[in-house]
Amino acid sequence: MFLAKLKGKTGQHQILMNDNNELNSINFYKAPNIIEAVLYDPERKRQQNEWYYVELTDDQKQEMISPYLSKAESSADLNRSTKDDYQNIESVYRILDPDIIFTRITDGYKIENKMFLNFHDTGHATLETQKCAIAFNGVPDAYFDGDRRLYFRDFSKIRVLFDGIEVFFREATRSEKEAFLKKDLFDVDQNLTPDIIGQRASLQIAAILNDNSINLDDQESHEKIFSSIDKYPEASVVLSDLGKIYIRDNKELTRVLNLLSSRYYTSDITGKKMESYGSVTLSEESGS
Amino acid sequence: MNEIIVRLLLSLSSYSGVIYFFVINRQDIPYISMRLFGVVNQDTFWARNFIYTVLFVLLAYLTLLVTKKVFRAGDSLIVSEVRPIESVAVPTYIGLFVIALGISNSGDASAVLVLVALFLLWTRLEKIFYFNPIWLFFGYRFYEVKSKDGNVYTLVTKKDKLKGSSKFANLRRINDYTFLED
Repeated sequence: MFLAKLKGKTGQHQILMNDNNELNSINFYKAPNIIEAVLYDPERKRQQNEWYYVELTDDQKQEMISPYLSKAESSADLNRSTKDDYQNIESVYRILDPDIIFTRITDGYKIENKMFLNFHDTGHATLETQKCAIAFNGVPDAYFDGDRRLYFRDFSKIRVLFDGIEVFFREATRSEKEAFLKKDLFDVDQNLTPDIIGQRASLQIAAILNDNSINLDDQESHEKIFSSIDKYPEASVVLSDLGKIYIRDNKELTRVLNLLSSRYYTSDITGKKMESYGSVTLSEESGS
Repeated sequence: MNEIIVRLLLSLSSYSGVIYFFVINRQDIPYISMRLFGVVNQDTFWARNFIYTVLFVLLAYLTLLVTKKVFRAGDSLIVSEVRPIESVAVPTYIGLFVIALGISNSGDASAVLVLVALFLLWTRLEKIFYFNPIWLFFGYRFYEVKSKDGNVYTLVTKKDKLKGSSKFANLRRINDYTFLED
């Protein structure tokens, strides 16, 4: 079944094609061949051939995926897309139960009252006016594998398609940033307020607060952190007279957040001290 | 365009019972010879009406064939409630047949105008369910069903004594509220 979703959180789902003859014409629109996939990290830049993925819990599947899958069960409850609806189409998707392929449709794909010169094997070119069409290249922007993984390339492009996906791109709230800066571990300059903390740092703060392996209130964790400061003086993380981590501005905050996120490391191979721009915890599956 | 034409044909076929009762009760239709252009003798009542009956049934059958040709199967439906539609449609039909029998005795052209007006009214009503009593003889039943989302549809199916919640696949969408299952 090939369907469209209109704009908005409660945007209607509509049928584009649902009989076998029609669906044969879009056989090229199929699940992408994903060779390289990495767990989504907003800090990590995707390589050319890589796909990001997120693992969905049952509740997240219910929130993000079920609204799409359920449409295939009772398509009679859906209307067919007409030219009156075309301008409001936000995405198209194909259900290959249980997989789903999604393509975001932005205004740039929509063709309205445009003239095309058509060329033929013989005879002269002809002029045709396309009144109401969508340029569809069949390239998926997101793909649900039918189990738990949602794959995508560009988070900002697909975030509008899935309710609740922001949890994977969560910035710290104002109160969370405030609570972070007030930790006993830090000696924060009064000019550094939650309001001037940038998006990147907000993402890191959210990730650190959500990471159960980092306890900023625990004495044992403090010792490990101070040990890391000693090990990487190149990171320029400074301690105040009170023996706390001194943070005067956003630059120093960034260095502290990188330290807490284990971005500074020593290569086992070369022995050199390195800084990464994103990292993912290795699991047993990472090597497969 | 094909779908629009077939829907009109469905309305016509559904309405043809009214025309049928109109013609079998008349000796003549204004401006149209009851001798069927010389094919049948005017006095041969049974032969004439037999032909009308065959045409009436044939129209219903051909409409069904054309409907299946034009409207492709592909829709699914999860039904939570079912109600046979005959109890609603048949009284309406009987009323129209009585009108047809009544005006067929009228000698003037206004009878034809009434028929046409009734047909136009019928096409507006029949947009909803296209009930055709002849299809009952072909084994079809007409149901009013409610989907899991609470929408109400007409479902034409060969399944008899349909009750409770059911799932249907490969339905033909006649319009957004009428579906046919082979």
